[in-house]
Amino acid sequence: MIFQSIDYLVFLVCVLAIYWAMRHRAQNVVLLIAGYVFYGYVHPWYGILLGATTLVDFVCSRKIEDEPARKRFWLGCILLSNFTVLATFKYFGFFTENLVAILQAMGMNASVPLFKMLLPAGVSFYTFQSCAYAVDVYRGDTRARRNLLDYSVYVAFFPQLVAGPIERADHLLVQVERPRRFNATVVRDALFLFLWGLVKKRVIADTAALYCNKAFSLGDSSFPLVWAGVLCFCVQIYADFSAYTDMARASAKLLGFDLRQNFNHPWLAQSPADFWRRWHMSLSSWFRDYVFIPLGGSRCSEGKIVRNLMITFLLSGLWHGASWNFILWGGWWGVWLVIWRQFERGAPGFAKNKGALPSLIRWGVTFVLMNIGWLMFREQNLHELVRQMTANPFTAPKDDWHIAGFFTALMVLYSIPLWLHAALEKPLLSRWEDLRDTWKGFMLQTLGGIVLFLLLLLMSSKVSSDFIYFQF
Amino acid sequence: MSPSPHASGMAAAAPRENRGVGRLLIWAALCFAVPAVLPRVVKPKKEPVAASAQRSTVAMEVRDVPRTIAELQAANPDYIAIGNSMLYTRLGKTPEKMNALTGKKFFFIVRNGSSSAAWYLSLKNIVAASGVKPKLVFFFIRDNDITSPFFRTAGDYAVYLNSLRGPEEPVLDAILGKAPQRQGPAGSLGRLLNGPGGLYHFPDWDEKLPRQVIDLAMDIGAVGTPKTALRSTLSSRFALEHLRPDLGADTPAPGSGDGYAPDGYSDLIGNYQEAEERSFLPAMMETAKEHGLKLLFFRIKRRPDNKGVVSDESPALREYARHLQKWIEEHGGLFFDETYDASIPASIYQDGDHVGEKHMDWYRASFWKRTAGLFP
Repeated sequence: MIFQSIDYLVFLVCVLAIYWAMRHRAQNVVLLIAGYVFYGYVHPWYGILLGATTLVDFVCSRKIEDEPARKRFWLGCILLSNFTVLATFKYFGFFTENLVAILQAMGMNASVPLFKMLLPAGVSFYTFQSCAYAVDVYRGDTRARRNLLDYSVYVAFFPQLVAGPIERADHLLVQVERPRRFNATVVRDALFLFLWGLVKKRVIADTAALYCNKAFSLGDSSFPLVWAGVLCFCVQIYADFSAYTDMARASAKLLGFDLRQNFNHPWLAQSPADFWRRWHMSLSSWFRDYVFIPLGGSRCSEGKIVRNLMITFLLSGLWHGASWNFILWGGWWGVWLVIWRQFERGAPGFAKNKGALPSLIRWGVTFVLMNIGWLMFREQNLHELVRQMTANPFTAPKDDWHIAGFFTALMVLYSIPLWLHAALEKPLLSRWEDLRDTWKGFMLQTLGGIVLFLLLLLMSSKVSSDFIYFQF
Repeated sequence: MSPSPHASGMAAAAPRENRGVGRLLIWAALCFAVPAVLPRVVKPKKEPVAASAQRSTVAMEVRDVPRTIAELQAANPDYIAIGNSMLYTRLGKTPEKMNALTGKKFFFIVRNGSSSAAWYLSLKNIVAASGVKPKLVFFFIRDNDITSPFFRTAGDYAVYLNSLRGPEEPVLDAILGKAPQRQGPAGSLGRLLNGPGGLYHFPDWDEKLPRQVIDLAMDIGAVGTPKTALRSTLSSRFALEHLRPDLGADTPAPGSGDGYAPDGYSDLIGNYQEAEERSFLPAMMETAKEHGLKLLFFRIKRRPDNKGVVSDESPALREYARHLQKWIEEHGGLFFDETYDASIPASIYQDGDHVGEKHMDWYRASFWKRTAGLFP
């Protein structure tokens, strides 16, 4: 079920009506049923996989706590079962195809039967969330839960089940265990946030997708059209994924929950590290806490730090998809994090200078790096990728520059709300707690809500596409 | 007041929060009512049909109907072909080579990805409206696309359809208005909100604002290039020959929403009667009869396997084609199906069902040889 559908609207209203009429324990039952209905809406068998993952992780996590002497074994069971699910559904085809290609390159007539199956939506998200819980129990950072219902709700919490934010037990699970209170002011904020998410998705991301797909449909794309297409994708992916997160957070707020932030205006990043502190924050913090730090983090020799960074980012790339372009994308960011680290050590004055010009240069470089990265992310055909990367700007036809100019101007116009949001959020949010209950705040939010809803009605793209991150 | 863990969430609301509930209701009422009223009160300036037809949300190909009519009248052809890439990757984008081959005068109305709704409008609003009397109007069809009325009528395709529309299109609106509707509460709510006459349905505003943003982007991004010229550049730059082979193949992916069996019509291959009744085919035959035109429906051979056999041609589809032929011939039209023609080998196909450019001369000659008897 997708957030921008009428189906979801009906589903959410029904869930909310039943949910708020119940007491705490019954509310959790409602949430669990809703989670499985939501997840199995298209393919009911997805629910079986989700249920099996939940059950294995719940039982083994208890064993970790109950049998300290064998806790490593039980953690291994959890990691093995989760990563087997991921490997089977997400990576099996990729590995067998590459194995066959290698064997054929060695002159062997290899033929492995292709094993293609539908990737269950959100499997990368909920397996990572479940693994995080198990590792936290193993480390003693959280206690193993004894209530299967609460734990199942934590794994199958529908607002963030399919595309995150990837939650932690100490944030979401404790909210599942606590009673929730209906707060009309929070509901108002939530509806506003949901509207903003819908506008980002239907007006900005879906329009950008049209032009991005056009640019990437060309077999003879030139330099200006490649990069205009990348700019369209830059707008599309940010608007699309942050829209999902906004709608997820809004749905959770309606249920009395608070989900983590997943984005902090990544277009404003001033370094590769800063970008990763702002983009898909729940995933980058997951990799930081469960891969980078266990590998030794940055408290080791320089060589090992480089290794740790590269492993973390290559894995992060692989997490996004079973394709070489994603691994390349992860590697691209890993390399730039390493280079930037050296730059910061070599020129700390410039790297940390808060002056306008140094900030502008750092921002510009990071923005360019981000967009080169997006080209790797978007283009799955490696031959095309090489051709696009090496496109010569001086041989591009004049008409292509005109088209690229049009695409770029259009993306600038459509991204104005995103820039405004980046500029206004901080000053507005700092005063919002005081403003919210006043008539001034009320009128401001009402006016904003009307404008957003009008934008949604009058500017939505005629063609709606799935959320990009659903495929991961 | 601190709520008891067992208290219902709603019951635990404090008096101060009741005020919050009141504000929430006022907020929601204003946010959802004002946008329902405002676009009904403030009407956009009406644009002439021709001007709006020239604009597109993605600035792709649109048809300038008056210009095409003028070209058609000037050409006064013997034969008119209407179709999509199935036509122009076989006979060509322009008719010169067919004219040279046959010594007759052809006129092509071609558009990438066009389908039966667009062909019907082309026949009625261009061919019939022109007053030209060709000896034959022929359509290149594939599978059951001629009886799949909703196929390629949304999104980009709707823009092209709109460019072909006349002031009143009762047949088109009636058929497309019968699009299978979703049942259940989600379907009802959807119709209530943005169905025709729904709470948030604003036909006067249709695409108005997005178009203005596009025009502004054209002015800013392509300084010195007139918008009409830029639209024409866009149209040719994203034409089929520039697309990646896998995208240009025009083979709709299953479940992509671009397939041959739009929602609710997946079973029509085996139920020809219903397909015929709900398609544009009767209206096309009626238009032809009214204007003294003879129609030929040429069903192309889909890409065969190495033995020359079309593996996609299921028994149901074979039965469908038989019914289609019978119906068309009973209503005074002509039908030609090359699906089982063994003389068309797999080697001439380039991508999907398209014939490769270097084989088009051969195909044209073969086409003319096989169908010359049908061309008066």
